Amino acid sequence: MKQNGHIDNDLLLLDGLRRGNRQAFECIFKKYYIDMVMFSSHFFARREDCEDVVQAMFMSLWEQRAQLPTNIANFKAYMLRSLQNACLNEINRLNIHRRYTAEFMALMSNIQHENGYTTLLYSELKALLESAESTLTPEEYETWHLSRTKGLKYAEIARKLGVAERTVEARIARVKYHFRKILDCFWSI
Amino acid sequence: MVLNMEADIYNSALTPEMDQIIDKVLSQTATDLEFARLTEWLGKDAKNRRIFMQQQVIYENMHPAFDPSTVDAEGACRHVARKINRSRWRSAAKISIAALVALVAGVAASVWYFGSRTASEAPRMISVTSPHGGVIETELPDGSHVWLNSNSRLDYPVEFQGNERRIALSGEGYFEVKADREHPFIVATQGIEVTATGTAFNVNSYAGKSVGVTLVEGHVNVCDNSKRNFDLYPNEHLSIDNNVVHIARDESLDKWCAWREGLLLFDNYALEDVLDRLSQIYPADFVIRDASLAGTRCHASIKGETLSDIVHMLEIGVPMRCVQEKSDSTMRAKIYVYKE
Repeated sequence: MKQNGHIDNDLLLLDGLRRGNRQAFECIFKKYYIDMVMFSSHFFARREDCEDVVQAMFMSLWEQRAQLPTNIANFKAYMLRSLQNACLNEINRLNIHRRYTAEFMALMSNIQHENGYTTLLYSELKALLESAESTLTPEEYETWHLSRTKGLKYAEIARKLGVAERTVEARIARVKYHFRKILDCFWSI
Repeated sequence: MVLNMEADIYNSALTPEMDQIIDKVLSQTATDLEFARLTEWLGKDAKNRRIFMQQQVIYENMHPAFDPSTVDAEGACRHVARKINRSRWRSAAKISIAALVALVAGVAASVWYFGSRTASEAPRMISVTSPHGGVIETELPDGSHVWLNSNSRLDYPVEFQGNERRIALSGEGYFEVKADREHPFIVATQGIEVTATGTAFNVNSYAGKSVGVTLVEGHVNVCDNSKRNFDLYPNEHLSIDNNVVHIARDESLDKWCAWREGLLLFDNYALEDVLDRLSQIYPADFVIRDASLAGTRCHASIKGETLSDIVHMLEIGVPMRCVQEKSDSTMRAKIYVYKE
């Protein structure tokens, strides 16, 4: 599997994990932990709940290391599937704060299921969108930055930049359009 | 011009109106009607579903549930590592009890089986004993260094086999363990196990006395004979006295480890503790006849003195009076302590 260094690395770590190498386990943990926590935030609103379910998943991963299938082509996808199952099992607990309504989750899972979109990790998406920012005009970038990083509402941005609110809306729409184009490349049908 | 720009990002698939509905659904602020409109639109074309997925993904990036920089991956990793260690030693403890029984039964020539699939033959055991009043240093088969305080004994195999590096200690030892995470280093003493992967620590465990473990560097796990587990971090000192466990943090390491330099440090120790410590190192047992003396605070720094010099020093300093019992046996002196 010499396609690129990234896949090679995962397979080596996986092999180490299977043989009970604690360092390999901890490398995998530190590499994927934050992205896994952000993934489970699709299900759970609170950070503690997300961290709990991810840590439990890693514990199981360690405990069942000897039974790991030897033909895992994509370890990232394997872990995301395990995590999704873990989240779905946990979602019905009484004191869990759901992020989205059950209705919305059903909608999302239908779309994902039939079209097989590869799930982007939080860090992967962040990198993608940051590279897309270089294609924005200065005005678009500035508007986007105020919305994304500062969390300002459109009215507030309009006031700050001295433009009409409609202009802000149009710029944000354009930025999202640029991003969709980037994602089109990533998710080519 | 604005209209033109808008024209090319919107089309028959995605109208400005739909864009707004998508936004409202994603922010969970859509009405039932709007949600229904979205579902209908999604059903019409695979392109619509793709656009929606993209908007969802962008929205997630714009509005994460919490700030990812507040997630402490290192801390979580340590937490999970500790949990794994705890569950591991719980099963290892069962094996160690059996091993300790073997040690007690056959002290002179003990043969240990390490339970490893690859070990075909039990290794020869080496026994190292330190004399009274002497500190000796020895190197273990894996390159780890051990200092033994006086009147102590160490048993270890001529070669470490299997998954563990296991040694038995009676008395006091200071360990500088060669790092090897795959083969934990285990010191077994008086039913207690101290496990390390690459650290420096001190174990004080004279037969019949309380056990003390001081961690200098790295990390150890202590499993007592009730199978309770304790993790120790640098500058922490764990003591087990009659099954009562106490962990002191920010401890002065000199207090516990200075014996390596031949130095005995008593920094504000109670007299009874000083005498206890002396009886570990010298072949003498002290009996305090006047109870009021027992708690007297002592400051002393002793280097290589003979027992009689030390007793004389204490007599002047405390003050107190010592009387040695005449005894036939030359094994251990019995010294009674009275008020002056």
